[in-house]
Amino acid sequence: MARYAMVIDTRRCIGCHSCTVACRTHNHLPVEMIYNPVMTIGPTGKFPSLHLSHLPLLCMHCANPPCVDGCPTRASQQREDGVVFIDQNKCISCKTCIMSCPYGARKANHETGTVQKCDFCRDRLAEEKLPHCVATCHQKARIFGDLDDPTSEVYKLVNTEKVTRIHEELGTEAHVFYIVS
Amino acid sequence: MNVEKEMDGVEVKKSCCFFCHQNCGVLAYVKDDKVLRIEGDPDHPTNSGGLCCRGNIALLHLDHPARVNYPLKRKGARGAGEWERITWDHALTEIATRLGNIKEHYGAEAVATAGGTLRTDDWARRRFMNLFGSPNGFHNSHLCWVPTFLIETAISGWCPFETDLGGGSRCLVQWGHNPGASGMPEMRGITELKRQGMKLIVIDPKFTETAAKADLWLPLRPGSDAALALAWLHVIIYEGLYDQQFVENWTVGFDRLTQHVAQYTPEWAATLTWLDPELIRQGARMYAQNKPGNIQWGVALDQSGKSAGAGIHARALLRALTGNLDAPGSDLMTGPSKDFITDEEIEANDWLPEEQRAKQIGSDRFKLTTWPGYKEIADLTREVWGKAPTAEWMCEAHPPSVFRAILTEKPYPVKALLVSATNPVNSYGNAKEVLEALRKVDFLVTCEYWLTPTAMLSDYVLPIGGALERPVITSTYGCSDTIIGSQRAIQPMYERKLDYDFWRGLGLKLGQGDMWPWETVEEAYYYRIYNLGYGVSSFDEFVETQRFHFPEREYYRYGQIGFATPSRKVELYSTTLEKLGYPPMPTYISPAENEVDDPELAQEYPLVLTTAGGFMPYHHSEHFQIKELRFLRHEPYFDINPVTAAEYGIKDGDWAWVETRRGRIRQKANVTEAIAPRVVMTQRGWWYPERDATEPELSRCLESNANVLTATDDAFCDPQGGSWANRGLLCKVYKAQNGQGKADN
Amino acid sequence: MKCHEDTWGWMLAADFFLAGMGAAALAIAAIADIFGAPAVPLAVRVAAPVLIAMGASLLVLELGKPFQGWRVFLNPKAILTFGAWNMTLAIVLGALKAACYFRQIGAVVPLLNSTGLQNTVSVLLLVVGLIVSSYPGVLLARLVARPLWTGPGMVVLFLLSSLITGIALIQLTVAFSVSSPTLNLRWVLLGMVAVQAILWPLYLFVKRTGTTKREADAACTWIRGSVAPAFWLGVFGAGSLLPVAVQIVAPQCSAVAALLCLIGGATLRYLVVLSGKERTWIAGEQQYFARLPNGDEAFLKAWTKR
Repeated sequence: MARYAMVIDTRRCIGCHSCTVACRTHNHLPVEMIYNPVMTIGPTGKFPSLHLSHLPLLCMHCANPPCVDGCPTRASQQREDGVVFIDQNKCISCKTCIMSCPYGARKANHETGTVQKCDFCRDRLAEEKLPHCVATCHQKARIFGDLDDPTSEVYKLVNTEKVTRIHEELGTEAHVFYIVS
Repeated sequence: MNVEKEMDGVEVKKSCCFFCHQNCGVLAYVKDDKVLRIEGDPDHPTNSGGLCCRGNIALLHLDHPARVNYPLKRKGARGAGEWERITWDHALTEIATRLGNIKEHYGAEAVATAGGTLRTDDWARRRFMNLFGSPNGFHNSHLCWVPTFLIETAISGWCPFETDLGGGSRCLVQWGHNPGASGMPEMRGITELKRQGMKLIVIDPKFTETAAKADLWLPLRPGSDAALALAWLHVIIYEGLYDQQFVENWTVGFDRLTQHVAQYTPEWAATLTWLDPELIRQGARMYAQNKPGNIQWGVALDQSGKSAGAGIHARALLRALTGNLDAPGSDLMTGPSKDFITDEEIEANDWLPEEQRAKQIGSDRFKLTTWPGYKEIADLTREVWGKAPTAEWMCEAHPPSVFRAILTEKPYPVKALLVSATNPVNSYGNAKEVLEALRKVDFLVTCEYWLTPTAMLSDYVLPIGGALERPVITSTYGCSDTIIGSQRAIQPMYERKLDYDFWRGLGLKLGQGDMWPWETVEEAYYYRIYNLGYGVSSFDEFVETQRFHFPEREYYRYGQIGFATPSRKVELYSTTLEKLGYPPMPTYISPAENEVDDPELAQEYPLVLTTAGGFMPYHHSEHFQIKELRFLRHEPYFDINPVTAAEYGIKDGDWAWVETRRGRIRQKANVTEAIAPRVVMTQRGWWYPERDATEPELSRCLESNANVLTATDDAFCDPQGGSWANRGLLCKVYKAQNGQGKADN
Repeated sequence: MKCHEDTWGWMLAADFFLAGMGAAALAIAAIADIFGAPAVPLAVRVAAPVLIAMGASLLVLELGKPFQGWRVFLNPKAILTFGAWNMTLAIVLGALKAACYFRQIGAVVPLLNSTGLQNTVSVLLLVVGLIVSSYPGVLLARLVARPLWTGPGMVVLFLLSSLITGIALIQLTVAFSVSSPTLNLRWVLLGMVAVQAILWPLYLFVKRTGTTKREADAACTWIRGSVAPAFWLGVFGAGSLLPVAVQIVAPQCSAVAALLCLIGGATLRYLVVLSGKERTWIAGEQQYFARLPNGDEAFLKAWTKR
């Protein structure tokens, strides 16, 4: 069984927001809903000794997700391949999961009365295509694949590069890894 | 979430994005003449499947509620927004009649055309204008590449703009260019090569996305590029870093140049560029000693105004001195294609009589980018390459002078302006003057996607189809030898047509019938690619089976044919420029407005302004109506250093006025360390299409428009090419009081 | 249209307050019944389940799909499900217990007169009442994403607040009740309020000095930041110290003291829930979201689909 994960190489990311736009456009999200914002860190330092980087965020599809067990309707689920998703028929937007997520990955949809979030484009995964944010990135800063497959790019990167996770200390065991310069 | 499943009857069209010059490949899934979805084309050499913010919203653009879909004729006052729907045929007939009248009473030269960047078949516009008899077509060419192209061609026989990074480049200089925010595929190439050890030097007042990845960042005073380039020449010559063999065998004028640049020391440049002399030296050495190396063109120099030519000229010589010309991994002069029909060959330039050429507005002063200079250079390139660069772009009327001709009737009246793919009040310098001209011109016709302020003021508005509705040839206006084709995904929606149809339509009404044998763009394109010899029977077949033509890279071609200059060598002392009356060697000219020459002005306007480059998710003035994009950056911000902000009591996010002698605009403050304390960088392109589009609001097109600040009087323009000043101007900044709303429209 | 992160709002705070107060009152009434102490006024018995029901209604209204609110009963692993079941039990059992005191109802449903039933219900009410009083604290304590809430402290503080407001409700009713003997928990109330006045500053102190930076920042907002005036004046001052002072200085004004405790309790719940807006922010996030539109901008409405 696969275990999907993503590696984001922030050395390559230039903060163009194309992933944000690809995701919201092709997933037909309400205009105010953003699944994967890209943070600009800096420039830090003092002119002219500066440093600038960017940090794309999204649902981390944690191995220990704080959002799944807390869902009273069982709308929030995690598949065997690690993808965390929300069954829109069962969700009633009690927002417990929104309050649970340390990454702010979940968003309330006021039209449908449900909560939504990134699901690694599971419809595209079913067709063996990459998630939109990965496919659209010109910089190839987002690498996606099966962490259990030793031949996959993500496996190699996670095991050879210095990768870090956000909020490691909270024990979520995020499956989005970051390569930081 | 909801990926459309492919059904029977779905065709995949090899279209393109067309929202910027990178022109990434897009696959369009079409059924029953409707585009179901789009995605980046993984097989396209430019983008390998990637698409930026703009490419991704193609479908939102295609059928946006605000698109112009039917030809409109003004009824009621100018700018009142009262339209009558008419047919294309009627519109073209009426427009042609009017143009005919104007030609009769005022001469063909009284008709001018204004263009934007890309999105159009400019050769068709030039063809029409030549056949009509008017020399007064223009784009923003003076701000975008054209002065660079012409000066570099004057010096070495063709502009070496093909950066052969893949050929093993060891050093890339990004001079006033930020692909990290504007050219994604380009940035990808840079990222890959950096990983292989290529050095990246970024010359930019701001710590941009690209500068953040650089090995060396030179944050110079905006507009001081000429001083920097001259100092680099000095360092490379006086530290013996030049390619002796190349200089000896393939250049003329080295000794004169050596003497000429003696005065341009790094210490001299330091006070003008605000850079440490050691940093200047470091940059020059890094470029000269990491070979092969490239200097990537960027608009910054073209937009510097009066010092543009000097800076471009100095920068151009750097390649020759270091032997970075036509060598593998360096900057290549591909020359025009031998294989396909270039833009110039289909522009019908020969049809424009001499006496009409002489009337080209601006050609009396700015010879380089008008007929005098173009002809001189084109004759030389024809001798060696067999073909000339495109006249559309490279040989154009001087836009500010045309706007002033509309207003003052000097040198003669301009009575009609045909606008295609531009909103001049947004994109041309001195926006207030442009707006005045648009309001005053007798006859205004606009071909557009949207009801921009210019369209609003027009007598006729023609609806134009975009990328998915038209075929595209990507070939750098026939100035390079590569070509990429894209096909249309669907026929234009509603009653839209293409700009080609407009020019041809007008041409047919005005008796140019014989000269327009191609009924559709595809036919015209087929004619152009026919000689490539792929044995295809249509342009669509070419796209479907071949898609591109990339001839084998040849290096050191000058060895066989020489350089297309009078001496057949690289002219470090340029006889062509001398002949035109310009300095044969790059000679320092100070920025358009500066504190050294005009300390009194600097008292009132103590900060240095640059009106900056592109930023995501927009492209020039486009996409402000796409709310999905607008959401990410919905207000204009200008960059200001924390020290300066504190001095003026401005906090991050405060609305503030940025003012120059020409006027003032309102943007929000982005307090950042990314620029020097005395520098202010405004965003460009801002207008508010959600506001009232009619007079007097006109979508508040002046309120946050950086071009309100820029300077276009002759004194500010480059004497060689006429570039007006967008960069390196003097300004002041002050906080906006509560309730201070619009600027004066 | 909202363009920023959605979090729980005042309805949840009101629910915590109302349900906590009602459930604690039921539990205390149950203790009194079981140990043969003077009973709580009938008005409390009737009000308590109604208050819990009001809280529950607010919870349902807060949902995106209120008519599908029944779905919250479905996940045994979720605290919210656990809480929903217990709230339901508390309402039903509380109403049942109250009904036992109405002869008219007892005449129609003789079962209600059985002491066996009444004792069982009392025990159940004690358990369920305490659960409903404290489970929201558990809910909040487990949310590692919310710096002010995370950690064991919130369980105690919420249970304490529920008990205080439950007792205050009883005291308020007692003050206006004519029947006797009456249950007088005056000193219990004041004792608890005094404990609250000590525990909260301690909680904030520990957050400020012994945990992560984000938690320290969250605590700082309470100690001397934007929440500070409302906390120190409303909760600490008016809601904790003042009732003690009033009770000592003017013992006959126990109703006033009780009322102050209720106001303090409501304010406290509101401030706590509002603090849930502060998440474990990631670098760059706050600036990113601060620059996004508010939702009332013209460009969002200017172009509607044909």
